[in-house]
Amino acid sequence: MIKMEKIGVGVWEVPIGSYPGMRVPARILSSDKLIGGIDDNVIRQITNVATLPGIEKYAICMPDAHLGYGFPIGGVAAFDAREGIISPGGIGFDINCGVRLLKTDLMLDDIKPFIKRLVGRMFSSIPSGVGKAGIVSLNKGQFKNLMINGSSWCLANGYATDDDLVYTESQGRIEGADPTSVSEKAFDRGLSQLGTLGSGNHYLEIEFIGPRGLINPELGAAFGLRDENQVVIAIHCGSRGFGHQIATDYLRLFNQNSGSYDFKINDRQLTAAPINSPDGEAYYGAMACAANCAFANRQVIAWQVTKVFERVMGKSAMQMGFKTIYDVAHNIARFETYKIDGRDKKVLVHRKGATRSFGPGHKELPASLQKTGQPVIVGGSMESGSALFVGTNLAEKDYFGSTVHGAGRVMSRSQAKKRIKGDDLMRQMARRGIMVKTGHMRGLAEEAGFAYKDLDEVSQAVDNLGLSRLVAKFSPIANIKG
Amino acid sequence: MLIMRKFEISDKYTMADLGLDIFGDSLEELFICGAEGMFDIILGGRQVVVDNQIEIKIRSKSIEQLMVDWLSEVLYLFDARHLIAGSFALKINKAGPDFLLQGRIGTARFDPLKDWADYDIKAVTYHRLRIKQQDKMYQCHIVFDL
Repeated sequence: MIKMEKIGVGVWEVPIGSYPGMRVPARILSSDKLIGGIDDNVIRQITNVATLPGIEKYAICMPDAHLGYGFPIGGVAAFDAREGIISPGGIGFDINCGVRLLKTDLMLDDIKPFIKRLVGRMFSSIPSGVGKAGIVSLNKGQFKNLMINGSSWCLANGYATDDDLVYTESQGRIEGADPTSVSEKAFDRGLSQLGTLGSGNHYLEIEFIGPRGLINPELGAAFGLRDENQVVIAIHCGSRGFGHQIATDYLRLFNQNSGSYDFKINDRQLTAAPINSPDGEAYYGAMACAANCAFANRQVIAWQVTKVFERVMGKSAMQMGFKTIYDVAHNIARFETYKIDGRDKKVLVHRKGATRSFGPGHKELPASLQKTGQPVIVGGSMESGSALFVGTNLAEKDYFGSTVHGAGRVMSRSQAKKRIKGDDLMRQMARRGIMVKTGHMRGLAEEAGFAYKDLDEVSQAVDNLGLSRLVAKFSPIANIKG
Repeated sequence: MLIMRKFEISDKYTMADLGLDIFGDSLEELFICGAEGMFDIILGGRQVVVDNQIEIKIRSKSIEQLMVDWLSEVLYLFDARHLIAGSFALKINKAGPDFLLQGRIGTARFDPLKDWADYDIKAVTYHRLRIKQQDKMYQCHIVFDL
């Protein structure tokens, strides 16, 4: 049993010295209800993160944390931009996995008569599952352009509006993308996958503001959310095989060259290189390419979703009030500046299964979000729906502008499959008014609601800690899974 | 003849994903069982008929790294070229300080529009990865990120 000290409401700490090599304490953000469910191995992983060179303040576990590879899922750490490291394990294989939330002015009753057609058309026109080619075909030159420009490529090619970019983290384009740092294998894996959902826990969901789901009407109105039963659409996916291959390539390179770095790491999945080294710079350049492709992937899928709604509902996107509320990354590293020990310091913030949470007034946010703060989208299970939060100044001050990304698993895939069969779950959900379309029935059982933490409990912990503020809760009506 | 299956799908070291316990009388058999087990996860146990051969050569600094590199290579062939590795003729040798895997794999084509796969494996991880030899049997646990 690992010793943790409770140092405040919802905050536990593993002090320096608890494990050899810790440079900073580990902070576990949770609640009295959730803390008991945190695996010792998660704590071991976050204390390992605390040993990495250049780490600032503390290594952080979010309330949705569960076991990952190297970093825990729900792990956040910031490293000095000059003296620190960059770690593929701190970003994850699915670089810039994230969520996009679209709002509409449609109400639940407007879409109910069309729901089967909407879901059927989306399932057939947005490739999901394994191996299918994406919505958009690219040649190698176009793909390079996409890597550098992300959502701006989508805008230039008719798959996005100016507004879409305004409401995407980093405007859908991370600076420093370098296609020369990307392997041929990554090119091969990514070239045909623009506009694919993938499989696993990735999804496309039609949701609505549930009963008493508009928690903060004033903030909700700022994002165009006005009434219960108002329909929104959530898209959860990432950089697909392109990002997976880049992570694979650089984990290999860093492990191979680890003897030449002046630090030692005791987990190959946590391997890291100095940020200011040829290896570290090359990975950052490749990681930014994958991040940009992931922004573009969600953008293209959102464009296709809008087209399906237009065709099925017989109205234009404008008539239906389609608008991107926001698009957030939750597997990424970004250079950001924070006040540390009284001075502004540039750090490379790693968020692995964690979301950026910038509060009101942050200079990176567009004018229209200056008063509200940044929208934060948190996915639960396919039975619980999602939640919309806004970022806070407290998250910026204390936790490198970060918050949770989801509910976090509490049960393995095999345990979930023992409890329910996919078709039984589908029938249960249908009785509750949730339609599911998937090609993988066994995989469906693995994503059952009981396999995840209670989203309300996680949301409560986040709100209590001030990591972000709850705006609205959405209930699912239809879910498409690969 | 009864052929003993020398892998077991397991999630003992992972909450969100799947892993394999693999066994082999030789390193070559261990590596083949790793690839067979990985495709068992992807295809849900469906068997394939190979119709092509690919030469393969991988050099790595350690035997564990060789396992990750080998499985990552066959995963790449599946994801990028839609090839399922279905038969194997491998040789693993020491080559100076490195380990060298050479041989041929027989492949079958995966048609994403006709064939269904159970899982999309994102990557092969190093999580709790260790190859050990016990009573002349090689053993390894490997975890895949799904």
